[in-house]
Amino acid sequence: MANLSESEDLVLLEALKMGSQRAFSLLFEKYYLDLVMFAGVYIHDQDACEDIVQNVFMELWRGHETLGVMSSLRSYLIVCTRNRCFNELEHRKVISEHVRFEMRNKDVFDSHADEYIMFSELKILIDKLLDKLKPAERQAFELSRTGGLTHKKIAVIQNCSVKTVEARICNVLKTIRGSIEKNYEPI
Amino acid sequence: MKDDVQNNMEQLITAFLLGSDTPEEERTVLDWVAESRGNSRIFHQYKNIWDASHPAFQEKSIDREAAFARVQERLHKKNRISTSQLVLRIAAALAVPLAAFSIWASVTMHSGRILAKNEVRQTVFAPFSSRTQVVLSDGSKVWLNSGSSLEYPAVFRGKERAVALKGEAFFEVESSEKMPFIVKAGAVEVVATGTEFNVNAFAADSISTVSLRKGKVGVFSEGLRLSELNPGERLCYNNSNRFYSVRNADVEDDCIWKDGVLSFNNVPLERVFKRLGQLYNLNITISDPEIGRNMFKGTFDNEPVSEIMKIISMTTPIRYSTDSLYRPKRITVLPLR
Repeated sequence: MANLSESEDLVLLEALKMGSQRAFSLLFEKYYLDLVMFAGVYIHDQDACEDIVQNVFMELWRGHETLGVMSSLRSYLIVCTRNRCFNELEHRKVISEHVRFEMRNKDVFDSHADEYIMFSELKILIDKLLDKLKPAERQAFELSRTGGLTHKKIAVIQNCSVKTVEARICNVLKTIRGSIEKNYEPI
Repeated sequence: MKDDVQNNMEQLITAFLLGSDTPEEERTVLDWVAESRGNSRIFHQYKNIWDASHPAFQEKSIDREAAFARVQERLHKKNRISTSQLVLRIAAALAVPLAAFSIWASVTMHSGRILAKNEVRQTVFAPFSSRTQVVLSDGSKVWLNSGSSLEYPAVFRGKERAVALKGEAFFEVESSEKMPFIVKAGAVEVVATGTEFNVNAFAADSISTVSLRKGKVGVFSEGLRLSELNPGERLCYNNSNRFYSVRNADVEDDCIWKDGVLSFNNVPLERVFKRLGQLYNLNITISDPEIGRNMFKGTFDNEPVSEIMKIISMTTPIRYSTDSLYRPKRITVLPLR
C-alpha cells in the first residue's frame, strides 16, 4: 500500500542478503505483530501463531544468503505465514469450510497478497475514517470490531433488525474499501 | 442495474463475514467469487478488511521483544554446534547408553566450569609506538600492534581457546579442530581452527576488520554467524549500525605491520592519519575535511612518526604543525597556502 514502506523493504532486503542482523531485527520489528495477527485469521491459538511467525523469520535469516530476487518482501512474508498456517491446520486436521475454500484457491490468494492490508495499517485507516461515518454505522461496526459482539446482539443493542445491522456494517466496509482503492495506485 | 447487483453482492459478502448468511447465500457468494478475477479481488478486499479489523488476539498480549530474543536464541543454538552436541553425536554413534552419557557429560561439564573459574588469566599490552609478540600455551603466536592489549589464559583448558583483544593483532594459530581458537574483539568474535589472520578492533574506531591470510575463520557477532572468510578476504564490521561487508582485499597490507612495516596503498589521508594516531598515540586534527580525501601511497619501514609526517607532507598538498619536533603528541594538518 505505502510506497515508502516498499522502498524501505528493498533496502532492508539488500542488507539482509549481505547478512545484516540490523536489517533482520528491523524487519522483525516491522512485521512481527502484523504477521501474528494475520496468522490468527486461520489459527485462534496465539502461541501457535507466534511460533509460526518466528519460524518464518528464522527461515528468512537462515536463507538470507540464497534469497533471490523478489518484488515484495512483505507479500513474501504474508504468503510464507499463510502457507505455514495451512500446514499446521492440516496437521491438526481441523479445517473450516471457509479455510478449505481458501486452500483450494491458494493461487488466487497469493496473487492478492501484495494488496493485503495488515492489522496495524488498517487500524490507522479506520481511525481516520470513523468520523466520516453515520453514528449508528460506526456503533454497529465498533461493537463488532472491539466488542466482539455477534450481529444478533448488536441488533438487540441497536434495537433494529439483523438486516439493518448487516446494512450498517456493509456501509462501513464499503467506505473503508473505497478509501483503500483511492490509496492504491496500480503501477 | 450493474450497481444493484454489486450492492446486493456486497450485502451478501457482509452477511458471509458476519456469519449471518444462509447456506444458499454462501453458495451464491462463493460462486460469484469464482466467476472472475475482478470478483475475487473485491471479495478478498472485504475479507481482508474484516479479518484485519477483527483480530483474534489482543495487540497488547504480543510481546515482540521477547519473541525476538527467542528467535535469536534459537538461531544461535542451531548455528554453532557446541562441543557437548558433538560429543552427543559421537556417543550416539558408539551406542553408549544415553543415561550413562548424560551423567558423564554433566560431571565433565561441571568440572570444566570449576577449572574455568580458577583459570589464571594474563594480559599483555603493547605500548604506543611499539609492538609486542606473545607465544600462547598452545604454541599460537600473536603479534600485538601498538596501543593494543590481549587477555588470555596462562594455560588453555576446556573446549575452546578463548582470548580477548582490544586494538589490533595478527594471529598465527596452531591447528586444533577439537579446540577452536576464539578471539573476542568488541562486538566481533572470530573462530579459527588453524590459520593466519589479522583482527583490528580499536575501541575508538567504529569499524572493526578481520583479514584472513591463510586457512579458514568464522566471524560471529552477538551469537550469530556473520560469515566464513576465505584467504584474501576482509570483513569490515560497522560497530555503530552493525552492518558488515566481506570483500576481496589486499590482506597482506593489513598484516604487514607485524614486521614493523607501515604500508598504505592508495588510502585517503584521513585514514592514514587515523592509523598514525592509533599507533603512535597522537592527537591528529585535520583542519579541513577536504584534505583528508587526498589519496596517499607509501611504505614506511620502522620509521619514527616525525619522519613519516615529513614524507607525507612532501608528497601530498598538506603542511602541518606539531607541539614537538621529535616526540610529537599533537599534530594539526593544514592545507597548503
